[in-house]
Amino acid sequence: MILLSLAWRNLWRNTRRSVIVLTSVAIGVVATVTLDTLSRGMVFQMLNNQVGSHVTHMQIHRAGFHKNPVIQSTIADPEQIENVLRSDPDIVQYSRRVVTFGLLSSATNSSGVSIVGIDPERERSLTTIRSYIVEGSYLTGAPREIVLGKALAEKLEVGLGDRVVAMASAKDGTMGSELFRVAGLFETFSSEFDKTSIYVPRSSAQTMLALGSEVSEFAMLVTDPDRLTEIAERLRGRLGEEYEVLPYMDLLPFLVLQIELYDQSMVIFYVIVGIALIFGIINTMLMSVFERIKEFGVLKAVGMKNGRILIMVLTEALFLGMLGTVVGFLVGYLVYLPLSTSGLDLSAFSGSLRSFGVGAIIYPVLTAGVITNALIIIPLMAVAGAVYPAVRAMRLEPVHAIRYV
Amino acid sequence: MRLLLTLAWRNVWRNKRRSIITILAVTFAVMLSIVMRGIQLGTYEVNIRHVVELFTGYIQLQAPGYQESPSLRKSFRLGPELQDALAEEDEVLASAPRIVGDGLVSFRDNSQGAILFGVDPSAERSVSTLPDKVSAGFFLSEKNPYDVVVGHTLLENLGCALGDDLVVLAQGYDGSLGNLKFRIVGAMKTGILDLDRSAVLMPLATAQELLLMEGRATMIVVRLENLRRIDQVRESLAARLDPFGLAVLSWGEVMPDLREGIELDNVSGMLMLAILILVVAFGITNTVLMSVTERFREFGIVLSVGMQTRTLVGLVVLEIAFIVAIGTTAGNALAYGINSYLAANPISFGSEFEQMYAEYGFLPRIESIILLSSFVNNTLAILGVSLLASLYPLTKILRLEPLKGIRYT
Amino acid sequence: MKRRSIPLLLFSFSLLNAQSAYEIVKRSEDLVRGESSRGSFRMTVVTPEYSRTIIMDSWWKGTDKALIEIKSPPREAGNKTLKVGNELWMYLRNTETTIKVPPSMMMQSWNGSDFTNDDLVRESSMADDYTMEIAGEDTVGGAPTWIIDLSPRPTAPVVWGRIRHWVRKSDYLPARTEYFDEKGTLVRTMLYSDFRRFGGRVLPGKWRMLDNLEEGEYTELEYLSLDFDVNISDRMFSFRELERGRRQ
Repeated sequence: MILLSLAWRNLWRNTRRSVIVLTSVAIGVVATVTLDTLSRGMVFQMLNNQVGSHVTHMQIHRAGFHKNPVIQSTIADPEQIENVLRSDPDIVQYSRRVVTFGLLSSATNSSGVSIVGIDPERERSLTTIRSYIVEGSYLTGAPREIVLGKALAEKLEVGLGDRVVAMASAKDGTMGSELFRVAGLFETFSSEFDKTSIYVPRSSAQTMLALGSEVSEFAMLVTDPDRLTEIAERLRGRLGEEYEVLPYMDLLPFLVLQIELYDQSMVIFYVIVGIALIFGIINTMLMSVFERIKEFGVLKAVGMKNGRILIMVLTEALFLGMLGTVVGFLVGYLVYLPLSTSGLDLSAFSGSLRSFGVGAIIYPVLTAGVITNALIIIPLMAVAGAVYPAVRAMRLEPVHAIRYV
Repeated sequence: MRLLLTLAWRNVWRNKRRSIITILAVTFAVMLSIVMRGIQLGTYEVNIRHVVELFTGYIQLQAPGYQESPSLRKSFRLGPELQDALAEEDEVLASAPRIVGDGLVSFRDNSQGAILFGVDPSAERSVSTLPDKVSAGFFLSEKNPYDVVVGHTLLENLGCALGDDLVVLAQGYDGSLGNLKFRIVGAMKTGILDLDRSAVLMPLATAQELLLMEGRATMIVVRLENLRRIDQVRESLAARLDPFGLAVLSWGEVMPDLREGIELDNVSGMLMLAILILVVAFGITNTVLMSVTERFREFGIVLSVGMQTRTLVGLVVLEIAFIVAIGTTAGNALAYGINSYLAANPISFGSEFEQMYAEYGFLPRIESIILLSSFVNNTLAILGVSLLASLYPLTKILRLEPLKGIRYT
Repeated sequence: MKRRSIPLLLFSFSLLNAQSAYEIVKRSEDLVRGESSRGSFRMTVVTPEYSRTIIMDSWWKGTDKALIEIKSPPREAGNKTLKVGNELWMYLRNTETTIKVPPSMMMQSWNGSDFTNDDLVRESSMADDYTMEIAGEDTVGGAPTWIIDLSPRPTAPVVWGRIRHWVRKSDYLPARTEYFDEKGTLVRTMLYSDFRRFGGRVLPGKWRMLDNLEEGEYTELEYLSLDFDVNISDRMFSFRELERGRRQ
């Protein structure tokens, strides 16, 4: 305890020097944390956008559907699944869907699309696609309404209220076709999604595809996405081999991989910044150690153990590092707060951002990962930088030290 | 002046430890920023090369308007004149004509839309790595005109196997329906989802027969020696090929999303670099400040025996310059070493990442390149920042009064 | 009594009007198609870059079943299209393969023409898919015609916003058809001409489909021969018949 207060007081014997080191640590932390929260925000956005707007936390299909989504691969008894989902305390919300590939045509053009039949009311609390509507409205529940991407509408040269015809292979092998009227247009974070996905009422899709009451997919949200694996496992147990239960990690493996990779590369960057900071710390601590050679001599002469001197110097560095980090973190937080609500507008790159499914505005994300990266790595690097000066301080011979200068 | 230089040099080594640490800080900053930049640009270049050599080509020659809305009608006639004109361009390593068209493939009861590629089997080897991406079976050859190589997902989705017959149906140049029966001799795994899911590769001559495109192609894919000189080559080719009425497009125009994505990533890389340099600047400020304040007493004496403040400042600036010069030189040397090593021996990620990334057509590798510009730019940046960082400590000297300096502890 | 008769009269008039529009179209369609027919025709596809000509034989039974076989040019000779209901199969002579046209190809050109595969399928259901009314009278190619406007029924899976159809008063034969998208843009036009006698009936000998969005593109069908109410076995419209070509 005495050591701690001693170390603390030592820091402030040369205020200017300590302040400069603190500032450099703080600025390093501010910049790194801001960059980290922003790029993390970007990666998270990619995932959250997909999960939130369409994929949801988890999907159930007939086994094999995800790999080979043919219309014959259906859930024949949706009631059975629904009973299981309803009785599971971790499932917050679920909805039936019909999913198939088909062709959407207007008088002037046609385009291959992924046709998704949904229950508009249930989907409302399941996904956010509704919030991306830029023209017209979301599905109201009336039959033969369609909501499609603005980009697709432009390609087909159709607007609100216009007719489009969807065609797809029906379950019985015949060709199903159905008329829809454009109810709304969406513009999401992803140009790909806008060009290839359309939403229609589930009943219309079932009629068109001769499915009766069968569906292709259950999409759902769970109470705690962190326990998704466990919940999926439990559902698998209850549903059996006939169905596949796929958490979003299995549905979007590439995004999940990118997040993992991002996490690792960011740790490396913190370490690099830390190393850059180390030099300032070594210098400062070395100087402060040599300034106090006489003092160390005295301390040693009166019997202070080497180990305690080492700890004292390291503690000083730790204080420097921690203080700088905390200040930097607080400032970083002040930068983060307004950005987290307003977002950073990167419209200049909107083309590529939309092709990656990010959206043009980046909202920084502060996660436990950011906090531990900053609060642990940087102070530890500071301590590492003090090892050499501390060892020097420890090695001083008492008598020699007293005589020094 | 000579005296000042000697004095400054000696001063640098008077406090060896501190100078060495400062030199190390500069060395580290220079090295790291050059290496970071090298890796970043290197990774871009590697990935761009990977993609363009895999499929797109560095440069594509197309009929005007083809890029916006591809169609067989926007094709052009191949001929020796065109070939010669291309060969005259020094930087062009190789070129290969291709036909790209839509079609339908059918195996037993399964039929599916496909993208048909007519490629010249031997020329293709010299412009793209497509032939190496055959994961099962083998690539096309001139000898067997009715062989096809298909994307591995397509093979799976059709439920057929190597050796099976595949019927390809397509609308030809004049809209007539052509159909030919092929033997599947290979499956390819490129990592480009569209290709793996729907590509059907056939010999160019056969595609010309199927699509009634005798002597024509929809594009010529050009391989260059140097990715960095692509803009000059593109312009020179455009001038040279003007009489043929062809559009000359670089990979960035063929794949605008990839180009923009790289630009975006580049911005974040520059930000990281800026952060690094900022941190280093503070380190240098700190060191210089400390060494200056530590020597206030000495400076006081020097000033009181008649040295001019200007000369003193000059002396300190020289000292800093020496330190920074040594640091940047060492940094450049180290960076050169590391970059050359990484360029020759790229670091692979873990096998799990490697595999997954490869499936999506990326190269998960840390690889560097040696670019003069990144050495010069980073060295200049750190030099500039170091000098800026010394400004504050120097103003302290300017304000120093001789007697006060002596008294200063 | 007398007061009420006026609206009643109006009502029955509009009923009559609607019905007669329907009847005109129905009669016109029956004339053109008949119970069954067997014919031979030449299809010429013209684009700014090229033009080409195909000769085909066709067998129709009602509007539901059809078989079309290409006779020339040699490259395509033997290729067949089979239509049963709203589904299409193609038999490819060269590879002896039968392919069911998947939904993704329905909007693509049929044999390179300005007709889509979907046009062949839809042929049957004009009267089912549209409500009709007489919109006026006109003269096309010197012949007086009715103008009949066809609006798609609310649920009919057709892409057109409106079709305007000219039918000759003298013989109930079609004279011109215009296809509009929902913004009212004319997308394509069918012109009927060269009215001649085929198998005891007068019919338009040339049908020209113009693409109004692409300058200078059209497809012309010209009947070389046409016989009506011939005896065609149902077996004609089977896979076996489709693939019979390989033994010839």
